[in-house]
Amino acid sequence: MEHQSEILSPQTGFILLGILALFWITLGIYWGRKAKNMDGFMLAGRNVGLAFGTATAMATWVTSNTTMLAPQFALQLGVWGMIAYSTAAFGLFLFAPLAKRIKQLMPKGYTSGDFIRLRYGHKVWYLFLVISIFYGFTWLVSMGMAGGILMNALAGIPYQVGMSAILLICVLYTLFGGLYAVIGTDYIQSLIIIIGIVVLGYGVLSSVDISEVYTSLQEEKPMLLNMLLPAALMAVFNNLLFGIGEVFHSNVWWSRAFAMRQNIGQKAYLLSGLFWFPIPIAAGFIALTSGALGINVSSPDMVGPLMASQVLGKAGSIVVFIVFFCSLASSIDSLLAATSDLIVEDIYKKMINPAASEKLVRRVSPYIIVGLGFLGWLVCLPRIGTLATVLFFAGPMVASTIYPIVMGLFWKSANAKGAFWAMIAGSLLGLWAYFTLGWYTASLVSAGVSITVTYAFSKIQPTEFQWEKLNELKK
Amino acid sequence: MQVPFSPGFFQVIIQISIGMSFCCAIALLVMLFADLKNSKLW
Repeated sequence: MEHQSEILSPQTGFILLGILALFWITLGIYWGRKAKNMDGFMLAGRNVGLAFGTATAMATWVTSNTTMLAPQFALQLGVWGMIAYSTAAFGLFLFAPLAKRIKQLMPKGYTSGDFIRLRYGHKVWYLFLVISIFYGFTWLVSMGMAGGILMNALAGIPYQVGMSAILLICVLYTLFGGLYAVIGTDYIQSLIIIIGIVVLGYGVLSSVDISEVYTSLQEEKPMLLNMLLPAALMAVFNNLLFGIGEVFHSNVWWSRAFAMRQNIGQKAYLLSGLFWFPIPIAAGFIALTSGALGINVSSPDMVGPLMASQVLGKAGSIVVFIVFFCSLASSIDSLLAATSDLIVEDIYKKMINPAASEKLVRRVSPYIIVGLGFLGWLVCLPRIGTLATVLFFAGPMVASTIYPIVMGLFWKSANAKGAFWAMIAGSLLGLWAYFTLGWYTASLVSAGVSITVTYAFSKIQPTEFQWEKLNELKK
Repeated sequence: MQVPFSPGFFQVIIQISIGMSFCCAIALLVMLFADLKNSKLW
């Protein structure tokens, strides 16, 4: 379905796209010159400081899903919807102590897969890789699709063209610059996103009185102001657990923990959570003003851009275009880098060619990034489902990994059998809940099953894991 | 049963969110300059 009510002309859209492409690719090439070896390309030299560390975690977590789904949540679930989306910040907050622990236990680690393999053995590792790569790929596809939908809605750029352009730009600068380019661009993108959100929020606040918005909601959609809306309350816990699951297992966050210098990870993740927390509320409330401003919303996932452009005109549309581009790019580049690292390190180097030299592995990496981008592009070509459907399908699977990871990092007694069955049972029952009870219960069920199983096995068959085993490269 | 959020709460969370976002942008810039000054960017 092509959008017919775009606010920017396709010509303006293509010009903006061209400028952004040139800017990010040039930066990718410039920063890429720092990447002299595998540690440089994959982990930015393991020396990332607080500013870049905080910004990269925050920008990666601000996806198009934040800026598009938060308004959709607000429109469908009201005030709780915005707060529900904000609870995903707890994924970053709670990962802070884990980041510290990860750097302590595995100072020379590369991926989250390394941890699972060394902690729980090969069977759990294979299962984890399936979940993690499926999730990473699903996220990548949802970002690519969002890019196409947005470019089409904002500037009338055909879906396939917009989607292809954003994937190509991100593939190119990730290819040239590795994690140096990803982290460097993330800093600039995070600033643009925050400033853009503030400008849009302030613009909307200046155009409409909040008490009018409240009165309009009370008269037309009182459910949205209801403190006891059951679906919304479920969504709070579901989103919280989905967010925690997403962050805890994904190599996107582990690679940053490995990349940050000693004693930075914990602070950077705490600050990034704090910086991220207000974004969904600031973006979400814009949707709630639609009634007071008499704007008809035809497509819920387009409510944010539609409202911003209606209230702020062409300048607002340009800001929205740039903010959305940055929120997409900051996630797509991270996904390309982290998922390709997982494929290169865990599949190519550990399974296919263990004798591969660092030079050969470095040569293979670009092919994996391009292949991943191409596969994502193929899946994105037909526009399938809504963003929420694509995203939340992976929720129960990632939620099942929360406790095997947390307990695996801190409890010696957590064991492989518990981790394996926690992931299997959590994923299956979570998917059952997804299809029978509703998407907003899936992660909740999965996490509940996962904690029970991991805990039960650690009590029934406790092990005495030796933490030194995790420091593989020390041996 | 319907128990609505109060108008004050509604107003405060929106204003705090936008204000907090603004402060975060400033904090990111300050952190960048501090890291640059101490040669701890990366």
